[in-house]
Amino acid sequence: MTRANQADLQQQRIAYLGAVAASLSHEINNVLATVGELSGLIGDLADGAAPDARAALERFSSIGEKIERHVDRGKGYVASLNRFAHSMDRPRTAFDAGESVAAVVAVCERFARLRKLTLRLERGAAGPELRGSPYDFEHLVFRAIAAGLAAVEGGGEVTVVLSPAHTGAVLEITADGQPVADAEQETRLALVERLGLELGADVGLGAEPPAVLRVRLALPEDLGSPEAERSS
Amino acid sequence: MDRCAVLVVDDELEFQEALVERLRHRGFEAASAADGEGALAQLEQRPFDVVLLDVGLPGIGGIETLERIKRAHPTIQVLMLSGHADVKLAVRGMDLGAFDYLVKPVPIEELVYRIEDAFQTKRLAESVPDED
Repeated sequence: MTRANQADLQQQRIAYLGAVAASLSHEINNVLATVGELSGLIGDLADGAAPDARAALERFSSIGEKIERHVDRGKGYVASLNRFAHSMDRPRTAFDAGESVAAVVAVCERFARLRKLTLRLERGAAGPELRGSPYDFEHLVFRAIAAGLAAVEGGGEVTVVLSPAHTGAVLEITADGQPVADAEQETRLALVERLGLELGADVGLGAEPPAVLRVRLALPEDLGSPEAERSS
Repeated sequence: MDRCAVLVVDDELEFQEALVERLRHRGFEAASAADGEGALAQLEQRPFDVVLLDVGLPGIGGIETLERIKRAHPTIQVLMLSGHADVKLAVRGMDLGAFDYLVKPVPIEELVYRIEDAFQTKRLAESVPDED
């Protein structure tokens, strides 16, 4: 790989972190705004001195439940943010690929919602376990899902399937719906291919009717190891 | 003085519902929509004075919604609501005719003040006869 390509890849790695942090902080802000309005509403209702005290108590209780739900939602985003920050701690470690993919899917749900797409994840209860950089793996998953989300018009569906394989894992991302003509898509797919090859994956990209796009990544158990690089 | 009719456009359902109720509590007529398409449909059906428009909407997005609102209803005043990440977009909204922008979460007193300000501006604009 040329120095220019390496610099570009490094830039993409940093941009990915920025995208994750921005998305999660946006969601946290939404949670805070909603909790702020709900707690303000409690104050308004209390000021209004409802003549029917029982009805007022029921409203307070219902609003309290909503606040609790949003606090839990906020805690989930903070945990995700913390998890992503720590995914860079060790360049090589054993990790649960299923948990990693689920975390990336959770981040991408906002992007799917903004495009009015459905994003689905299918995976087993745990694993498969891979070794390597969780950060680089999650970056690859993020870029592959982003390509899937960019491939179809609103109303479409993007499915992420993670399955264990004999020597590692297979990740498939399928986009179904009305195709989008997007000049940037070629660049997105080229990045997915580069990142996949860096980790020693076999990369399959393309339309497979009726799917508008299918990304297939056959990942070795040992991501980006010299053995994996030799066999790719 | 007529009551100010406010349309809250935000895809965070419980934020939107709570805000609508709080605005009604303060004497505004308030309704809501979850996206730009829904907002445009409501504006075709009944008049509103002020639109509180989230920048990061699903579908056509806040900026395109703003452009369409200002094209079809030039005197309606639009207050953009944004998260920290969307402030640049909200500022762009000002160039496209938004009355102002506010960063969420917004204290209700500040929001009410801006809505009333926007309402006065709309009334003033409507009271000035066209030059042609």
